[in-house]
Amino acid sequence: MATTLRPVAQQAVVSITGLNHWFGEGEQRRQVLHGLYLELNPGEMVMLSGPSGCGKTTLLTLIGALRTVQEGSLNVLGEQLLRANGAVQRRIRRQIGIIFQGHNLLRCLTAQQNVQMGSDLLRNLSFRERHQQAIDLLAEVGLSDHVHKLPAAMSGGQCQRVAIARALAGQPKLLLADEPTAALDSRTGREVVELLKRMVQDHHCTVLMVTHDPRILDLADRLLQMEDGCISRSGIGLVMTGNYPG
Amino acid sequence: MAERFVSLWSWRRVPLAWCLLSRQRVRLLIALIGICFSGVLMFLQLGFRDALFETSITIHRKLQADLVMISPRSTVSISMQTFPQRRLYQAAAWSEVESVTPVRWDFAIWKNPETGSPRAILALGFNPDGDVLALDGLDVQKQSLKLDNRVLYDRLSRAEFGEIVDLYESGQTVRTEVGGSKVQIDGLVTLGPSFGADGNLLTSDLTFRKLTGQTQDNGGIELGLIRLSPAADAEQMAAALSDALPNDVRVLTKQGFLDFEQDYWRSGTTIGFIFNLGAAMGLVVGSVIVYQILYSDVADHLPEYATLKAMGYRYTSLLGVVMRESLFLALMGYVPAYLAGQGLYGLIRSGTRLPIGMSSQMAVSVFIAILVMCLLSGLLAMRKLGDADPAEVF
Repeated sequence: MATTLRPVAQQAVVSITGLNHWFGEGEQRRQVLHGLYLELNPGEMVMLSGPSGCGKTTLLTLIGALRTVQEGSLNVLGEQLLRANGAVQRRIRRQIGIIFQGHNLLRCLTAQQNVQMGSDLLRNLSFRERHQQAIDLLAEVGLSDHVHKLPAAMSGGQCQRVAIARALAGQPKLLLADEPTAALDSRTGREVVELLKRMVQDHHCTVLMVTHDPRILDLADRLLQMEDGCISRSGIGLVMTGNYPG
Repeated sequence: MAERFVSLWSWRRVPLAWCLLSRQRVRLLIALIGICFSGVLMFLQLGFRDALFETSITIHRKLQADLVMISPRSTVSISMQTFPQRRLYQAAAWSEVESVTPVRWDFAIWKNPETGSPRAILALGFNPDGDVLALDGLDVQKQSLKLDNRVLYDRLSRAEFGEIVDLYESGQTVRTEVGGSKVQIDGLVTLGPSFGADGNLLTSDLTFRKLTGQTQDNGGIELGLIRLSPAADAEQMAAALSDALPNDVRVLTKQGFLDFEQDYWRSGTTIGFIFNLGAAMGLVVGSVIVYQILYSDVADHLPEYATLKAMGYRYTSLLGVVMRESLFLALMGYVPAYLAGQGLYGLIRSGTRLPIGMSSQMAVSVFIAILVMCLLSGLLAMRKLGDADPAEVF
């Protein structure tokens, strides 16, 4: 079932070899990832689809160093995550931008402050520079007039744009997105992903996006399809036949 | 140093703790009311306790003495026992002793001249020619005490004794009954009530016996004041007199006499404990309120804290956010508590004439208590942060 991808000349941003993962203990133990092989190359925008419970989100959280790797090799941005300690996991997390399905903005912070939370961990920028960078990023996503607004005062699409700006504020080399268009109408969803694609190209970033939205699949450089913990199909211009529920 | 400050300043981050507090105004208001209430409770309890200790030695402080002789059976000034007066005159034989003055000290029943209601008043009896109390104008006023049944009334005595001060200052002759004897108020002095005595009067030793129902002089006195020559050492003289005199008297330095009184209220009664317990209750109530506020704040924002963890924020950074919230709450809650405490002290002073006030030590103590209360509550609330799993935010 496992799919091996062709090796590429450039060093992969993510390199997965024989990745297995289980949930639960004893008789309840259930394998969710079965010997995955995958590579993500620099600058790629890869979209991952599959039915609910097939392991997409688990894969995303493992690449994001949010779970401990149990078996197999998972190399992200040059760091091996198998048996990685908390410090390595945090170091990886700081080089990855994450866009959540529900944007997960901090309700008590303005748009500018939310974006700046993404860059406050950077050591190469002063407070003033981080502040200005947040304003610039909001301008890039078309929210110049919403800098001082709280999330409650913005629409879902605007919040997702702020989330994109926040994810890019930390100058990540890899961006993980979990169904970023799920809570948006079709037009806004496509606008947001087009914006994301444009911005990751500008910021030289690799994207792995989990999505069920067939209207945005044409924006991907590569499509991956997952079933039962395995990547079943991979390719450019792959036709998604399944209508997967969230 | 300046470079370091600039470096620290440039390293500042989005003020998350402040935003979490300030953008939930109702919750912040409830927290501040809780902390303020807790602080006011502590100020009141500690204020009453300190006032108790302070007023218990109001008269003691004004005694004109280097040494004080009392009965070893006396435990506190509200129930002084007698000792033989001759012991005081034995002490007068020492070359270092300049003068001795016997003082009578007991409660008498005062009848309110307007309502006729009886009330216990502390009466001090002494020879009007002796130097007993350091009070302005007493040297002149006490001469009138040489007349029979004349007393000087403490103007700070509680209102229940009657409108004596107003009557006297309006020029009227004020008379009442004390211990069944008619007396005339011949002057006003300023002493102040205490928890043990609501009011005070000064009179001659002869009148004192009448007012307290002692028809015969049995040679007993409650207090002996000893003045030493300037070269004498009070500690050494107290020890020497204690050794030389029989054990039916106890000789204390003036400071020892103040300590003797305060130790009784502090250790010999449950009053000090009760006030401390009251202050501790304030601390507990405040802790519960602050804990609830911070806990629900952390619980409400758990997905957001998990998001920050997923972004690479350290667990300790998030703990720092909760601790800063605690610190802000302590600072913002203390200010209204301090102001309310000052206001209430003023009300109590005017209503009860107790010398209750805000010492800098108390202000600092309550601030530290509120700070510790908020930080401890924050520490407890932070345990909830452990539930913020970054993998669960997907």
